[in-house]
Amino acid sequence: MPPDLSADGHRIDALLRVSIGLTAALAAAFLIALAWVVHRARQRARSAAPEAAAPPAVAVALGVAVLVFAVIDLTLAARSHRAAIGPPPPDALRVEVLAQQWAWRFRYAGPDEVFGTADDVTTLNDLRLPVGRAVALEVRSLDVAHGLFLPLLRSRADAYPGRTARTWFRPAREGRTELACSVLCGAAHYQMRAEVAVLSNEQYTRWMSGLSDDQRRRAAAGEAPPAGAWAWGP
Amino acid sequence: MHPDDRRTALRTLSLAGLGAALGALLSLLLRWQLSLPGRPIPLLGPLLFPDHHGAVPAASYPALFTLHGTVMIFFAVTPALSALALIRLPPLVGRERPAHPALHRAALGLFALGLALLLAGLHARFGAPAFGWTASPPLSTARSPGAGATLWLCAVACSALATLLGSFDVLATIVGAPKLAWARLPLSAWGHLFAATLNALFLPILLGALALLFSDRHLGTALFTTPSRPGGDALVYQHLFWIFGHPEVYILILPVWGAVSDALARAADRPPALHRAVVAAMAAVTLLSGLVYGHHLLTAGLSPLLAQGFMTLTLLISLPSAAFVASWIATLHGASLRPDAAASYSLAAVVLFVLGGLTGIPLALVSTDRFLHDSAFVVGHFHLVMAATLLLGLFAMLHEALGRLGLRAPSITVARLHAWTTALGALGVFVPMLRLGLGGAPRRLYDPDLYRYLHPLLAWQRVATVAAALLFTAQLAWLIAWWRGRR
Repeated sequence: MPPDLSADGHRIDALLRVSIGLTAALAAAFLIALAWVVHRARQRARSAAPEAAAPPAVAVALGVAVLVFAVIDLTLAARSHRAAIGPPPPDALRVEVLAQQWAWRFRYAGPDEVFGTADDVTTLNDLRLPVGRAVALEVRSLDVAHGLFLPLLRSRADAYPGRTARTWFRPAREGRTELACSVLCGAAHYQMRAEVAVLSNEQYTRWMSGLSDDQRRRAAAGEAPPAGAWAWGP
Repeated sequence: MHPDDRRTALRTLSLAGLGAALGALLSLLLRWQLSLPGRPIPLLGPLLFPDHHGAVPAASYPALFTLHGTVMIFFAVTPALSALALIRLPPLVGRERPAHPALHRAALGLFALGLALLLAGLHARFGAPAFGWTASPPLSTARSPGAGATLWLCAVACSALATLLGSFDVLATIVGAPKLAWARLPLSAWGHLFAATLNALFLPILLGALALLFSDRHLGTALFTTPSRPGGDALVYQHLFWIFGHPEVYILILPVWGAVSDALARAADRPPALHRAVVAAMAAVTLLSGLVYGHHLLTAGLSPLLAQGFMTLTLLISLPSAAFVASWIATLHGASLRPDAAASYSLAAVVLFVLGGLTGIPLALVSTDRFLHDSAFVVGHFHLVMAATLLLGLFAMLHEALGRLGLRAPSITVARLHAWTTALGALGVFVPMLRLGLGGAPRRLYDPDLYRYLHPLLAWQRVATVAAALLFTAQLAWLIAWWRGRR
């Protein structure tokens, strides 16, 4: 797995490691049993040894195999439930993401924390986040289905046109990473990527206040605020 | 075998072979692009993409994998299984001929028409269809102008209708067989029966979804709407498609499971172990297959309760699947095994099925699917089952079927060599895909090199491409061996 910059991604990674490990162990168990049985059966054919009668334990073995899977399934399902992320905390930084062929537009609510007002800050293919604070994203699409995928932040949300997708995560380490579109969205789907930077709180505040000042100057000059905002969901 | 049925079966098999060859060639183009992004393809490249110096153009890449998936599923595996049912089923249920051979003849015509329409779509104005085999709207409707997408819809509808007709014949052949002893019905016949049942239940849903797409494209409706035309919902299509799309996996694999069970039992010279339990497991899979499709939508904003429900149902499919593998091991346990060609293919198929089936578990879990959804891991997983296991299973069936068609099958040595080279090649292609997915590689990317975090994974793309060449060569070698000794 790629490095994890998020605070909760380790839960996904741990479950992934457990499920892959179990998968590999079960595969090994089945394949070793198969190889052994085939080897013995081939030997028997070569030496013309008499066949063993079908062992009565066969049905028991089948039952055990099914039972083992049932236990593993239930355990994994329970662990998956525990690793679920739940709703974002109320103090999360909110960012609206508008996906379109083939770009990501990010909107921060600005100092008033209300979307669709003159102090909104928007960026194109450039998502910057403060370290340590939960980030909640609402994603909408302007045209076809897109998939917001942040591999290093272990986050994903598929945006179907006409719907709002939601996800949240908490960046735990500073660093630069990428956001990929993970749902086929046309010829330039592969180019629909955004730069993501997890900044220290000072860096983030400096960057955000610079953009806010720009936005205020534009509003004072009578420029309309960037379109495409929506009322944040409940 | 009746000469009419033989002719229909041979032609359907040839069509499937043509589809498989085309699909395989396309996959080689895809593999080339993924391991050497933007580099010209030797030999074929200048012929196919003269305007791009022989390299795959970015705009053509989605069209290539759309055609690859469509051809492989609807015009290679599906007609192959239809033909194999026509050849194998009547003797299994004690009949001379199928109940309604005309249905299979009509199916052949529809498969051929469908393939012709699909290929015609490649030359359509505004380009070939390029929305993936799932044809999600609005990419496949408002954002795919031109006749290519419409021809794609008609082509897939032809294949679906053809499959439906063949399935009706399968059902009538089994259910209408005189003096049928259900308790002794071979597992191969059960496999065809359950697959045909699923076809009869779920193909009409696919046909309905295609009709609705057609309506959005040409009749002015906005059922799977775009934001500029509110009314419908693009997500509804996802439900409709995957209600069919997931059972489709079992439609294709159930006959293989039946054939593998019978082939191993025959080579061990004893009846399949736990016959009734295996039939029950097949029935359980058939039932569950219609209830698990939601795992394709785990990241599409399903309610958490629904997502947990689909996760649990999906995990439950592992129980009957484990029962199959346990029954195969039980059949061979203590036996004296002389593997013929079919058994060799079956053993290789079991190995790949174990790996392919088990890799479904991390995808079924809501929490890990958050990372793995739409990644190369998914592609590796379903190809291990739907490409590798199926291919080997189809060869197991084919080697038996050739005899009934009055054609000579390649020798057991060729078959063994082919089976294990194919298995090795498939592992070489699809295991690296699992690794790529664990590294966070999304599927369907024209140029994965564009992402910094994917740079360390490029070597895995190259391993997969070399293995794909091996896989392709193995099939070519089998074909040559068969052609030279066919009579």
